[in-house]
Amino acid sequence: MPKFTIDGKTLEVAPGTRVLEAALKHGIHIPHFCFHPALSAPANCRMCLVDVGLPKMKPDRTPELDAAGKPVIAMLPKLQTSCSTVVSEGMVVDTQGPRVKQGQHSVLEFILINHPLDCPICDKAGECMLQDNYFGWSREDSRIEPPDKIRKHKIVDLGPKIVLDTERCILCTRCIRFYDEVTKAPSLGIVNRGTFSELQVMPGRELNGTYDYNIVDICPVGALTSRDFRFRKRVWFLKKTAAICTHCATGCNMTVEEDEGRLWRQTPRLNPAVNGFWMCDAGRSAYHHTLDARRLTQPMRRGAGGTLEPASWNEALAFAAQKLRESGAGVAGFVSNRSTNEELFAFERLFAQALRGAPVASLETEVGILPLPPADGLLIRPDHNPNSRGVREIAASAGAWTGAEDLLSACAEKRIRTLLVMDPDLVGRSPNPAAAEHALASVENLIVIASHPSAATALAHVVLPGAAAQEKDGTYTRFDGRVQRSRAAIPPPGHARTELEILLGLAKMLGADFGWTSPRAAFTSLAQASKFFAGLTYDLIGPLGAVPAAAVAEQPASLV
Amino acid sequence: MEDFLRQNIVLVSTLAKAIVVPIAIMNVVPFMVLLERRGSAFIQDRRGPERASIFGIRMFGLWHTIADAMKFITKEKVVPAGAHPVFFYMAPALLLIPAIGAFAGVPFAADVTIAGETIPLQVARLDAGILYAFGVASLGVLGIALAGWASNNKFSLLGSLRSASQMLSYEVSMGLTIMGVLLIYQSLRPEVIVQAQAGPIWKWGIFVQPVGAVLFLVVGFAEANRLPFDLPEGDSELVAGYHTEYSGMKFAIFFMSEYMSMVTISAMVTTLFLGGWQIPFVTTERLHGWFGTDVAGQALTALCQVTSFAAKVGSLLWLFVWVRWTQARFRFDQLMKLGWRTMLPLALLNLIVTAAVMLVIWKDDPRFGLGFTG
Amino acid sequence: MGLSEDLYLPETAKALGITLRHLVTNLTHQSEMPTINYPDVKRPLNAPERYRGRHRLLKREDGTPRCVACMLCATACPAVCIHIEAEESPTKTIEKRPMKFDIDMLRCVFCGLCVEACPCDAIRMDTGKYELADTSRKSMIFDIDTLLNH
Repeated sequence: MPKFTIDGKTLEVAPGTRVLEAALKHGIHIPHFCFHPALSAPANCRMCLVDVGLPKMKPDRTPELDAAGKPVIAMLPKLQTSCSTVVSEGMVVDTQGPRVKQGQHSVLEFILINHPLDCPICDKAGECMLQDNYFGWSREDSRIEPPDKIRKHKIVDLGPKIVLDTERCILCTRCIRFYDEVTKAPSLGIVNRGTFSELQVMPGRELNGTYDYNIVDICPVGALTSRDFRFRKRVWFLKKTAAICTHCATGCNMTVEEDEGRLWRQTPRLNPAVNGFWMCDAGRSAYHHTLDARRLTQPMRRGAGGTLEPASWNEALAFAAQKLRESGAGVAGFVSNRSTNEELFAFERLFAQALRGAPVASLETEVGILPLPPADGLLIRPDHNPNSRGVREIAASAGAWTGAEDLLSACAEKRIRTLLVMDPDLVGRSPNPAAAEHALASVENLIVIASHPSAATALAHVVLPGAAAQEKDGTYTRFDGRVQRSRAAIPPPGHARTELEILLGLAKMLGADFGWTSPRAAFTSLAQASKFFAGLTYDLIGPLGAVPAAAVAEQPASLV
Repeated sequence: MEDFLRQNIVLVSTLAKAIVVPIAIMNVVPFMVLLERRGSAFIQDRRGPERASIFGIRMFGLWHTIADAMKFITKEKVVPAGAHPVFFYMAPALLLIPAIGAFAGVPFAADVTIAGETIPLQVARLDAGILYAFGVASLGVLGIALAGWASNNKFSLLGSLRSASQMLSYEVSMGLTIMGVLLIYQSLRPEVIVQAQAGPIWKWGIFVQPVGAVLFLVVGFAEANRLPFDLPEGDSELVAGYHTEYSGMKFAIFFMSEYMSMVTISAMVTTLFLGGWQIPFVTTERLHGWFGTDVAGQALTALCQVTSFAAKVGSLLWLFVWVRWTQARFRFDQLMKLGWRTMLPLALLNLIVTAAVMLVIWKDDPRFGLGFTG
Repeated sequence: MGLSEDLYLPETAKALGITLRHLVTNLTHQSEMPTINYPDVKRPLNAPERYRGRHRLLKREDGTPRCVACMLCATACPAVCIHIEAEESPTKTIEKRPMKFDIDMLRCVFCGLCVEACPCDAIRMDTGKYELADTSRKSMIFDIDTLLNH
């Protein structure tokens, strides 16, 4: 383990660690652009220059000692890029000296020579590394007047998702390395020389892959902008919430960004054990599904004329509870692998405590609610639902649940009078949609909890509008058993409520008391009831999730 | 019909007085509001509200009061949650009734004799008219206390508690001050007191009882909750005091009551200290000598005397307004100190000195009917 | 305090004298009162070089708004009264332009920070207009056309 000294602090790091990595890890900030923890370091931006000294060696390869018995340090004549310098035994690094400052200052001036002054209309402004480094290390006027700057191409289409501004590009090659090293599908390159160097997509290609938006995130400046977010919102207006992507079993950690109660974008959130720095484009764009104008926002009841009519929550819940109570043995429920652990647990409790242990089933399907690219071994998994593992574990702790096929055929044979469905699209996600539709149509009272309209809500006698993933608190169990927490960024639209509130409302009408009302308390109760979740709490789950004792063996290696 | 009137002249005249006088007092209110608004404006180098016009006639701003009245009447009736459902409505009436009722004993002209019947120009001729007036006037505090309590509001309650303690404190001094006057005039009947102040101006109470007059005037300000004694409202610290939660016509009644109690107190000051309806140096007999004693002569006499009474009351009302826009509000401890440690000893001293003077100097004077001989 | 101040009443009398003097002076010299009869008589807006009146949006020479929808005014606004929605400009050299630019004059506090913040000198408060009353909330939300054609 080599020991080295940086700004007077002696650190011991793993062999092969680069100076910049070691410094960042220990809270010493060295400005940089091209360095990215997940990518190789070409050292082409030259921003991370530091002064490096090595112990002077005698001919016998032992350090020369001074009068006080300390090794004599010989400073290297030129500044070194800390992102590409590997730490060696006895190395001395200075990140603050006047030589370093002068070097960083000059590099920044060089980078800014032809950089346009369009921060006011640049989407990156506010989260731009160039802005941050300028304010931290330069704050000087340019010696080049704006009219003398080299003009390059602006608004270059790199495909349907990405817009390139070559004037803003500082040629750090992060995006090039992303395709080379992460997706292993080289797509970009730099053409021309010197001042006229430009980023270009390889001839005859366009960027239309699965992970393209990630290059917008890693671009240190505003050269690459996303069509989806371009000009929509200034980033400093956005309020950020730590959430989980619910569109495949990977459960990528993400930041949901919201302003004035509306979602504006979703960005990946670093979790080395789950998704690293990345996220797929489909998951990132999935917030449009939450913004869908056709969302259900009003409880509805089938009126005398046979059409769904708006009702108050009290009416709708009271009607649903009455039918559930009246139907005796003819009650059943459908949960889904898209619900949170807490909702599944509340559903299970509702049926066990208030409905005499009536049968509960779940579609064991891999079909989600949005079209997703096929599994690629990188982030996207074949199962497009966030909580299939949670359904299995909770069903196991509650005693086996009924099979979905059996329950649907029971419905078709009219043995089920009242069916409570908490699935976003029971018909569409079912392996046999026609049979499922027939089964639901045969039920006397169909109660559906859903956030979006579907074939099931069209057949329902009572529709209880629920929340989308970004609108509720809860935990999801990843395919490998890791339990991750997602937080509500915005309230549900209109009169819609979270599923947990709806289930608790039904329980109250049916005279059942679970002893908890919040997702946090629900999870604590779940951890007591289930062997799998035993010992976990919201505090233990934290921002990066937690692995239950039962699933430790299944964990994959870290991605970063 | 004429016979009926002739035969029941007392009944008819009493009814007429009972209707005309309260209406007259109520109609003083808009003019007082106008006086207050424009008066304060000119004192503060402003013009005041004067822009409301009907067909281009502005009437110096009088229409604003009418607009106010219309607004009050048509405003939404707001009752705060938790307010007492009955007392909240009762409180304004409990303040308004004493404010008008106290006026009943005040004479506003000499008696007239029509068809052999003596008709007093006074709504109610009572044996203890002075006691009645002050007794009724001091009931007003009930309305304020009830308003504050029934509003279910801390500020209202504080305002009404302030009002209750203020009224009680100052009524003690008020009673003692009146006793000096009563000692001199030897009667509880206001008409007798006014009659005793006939003729030369130095017979007026203000000259016989100068300290009493000043004390009574100050106490009158306190009883009417007027600045510098408007602590029950105390806008700067209590929002609006006891009527914080009142709006619309209910608030308007509080607002009117304040002005009516000013009228009543001015009338009492006039009766006790400013010779009531007496015109200085011009007695009723002299007026009768000028105008004759037939119906027309008596009417003219009464008219002169009512005018005199109204002029005195009007001047006092202006004094109320004038002081309001001159003086700042007392702090509550200052108010209490003034009431108990200045007003009360002064009133007591005044009473003792008056009694001593009555006993020693004027003991043989038959005018006062003491009949002492030794 | 002297005796007369202790007695309070002489001082009250003095104070009444002062207010009476004002009253009489004002009653007898009504034309000299400092009050301006506002809607009938208007104070001339002289020397208000930096007077902040109603906002206006400036135009380029070709008549399009100078605003590039950078939202720095909305960022600086302490009253949160500026609402901007941006769109792609058909002119490639301009890139971004406002699709919506609403100022809620009911919320505006006329602080002028939007003018200070603007990098394009696209918004100014130099119209000198200060009479901004209307009968509906909606009409007090000025849209881009109102602001451009002041």
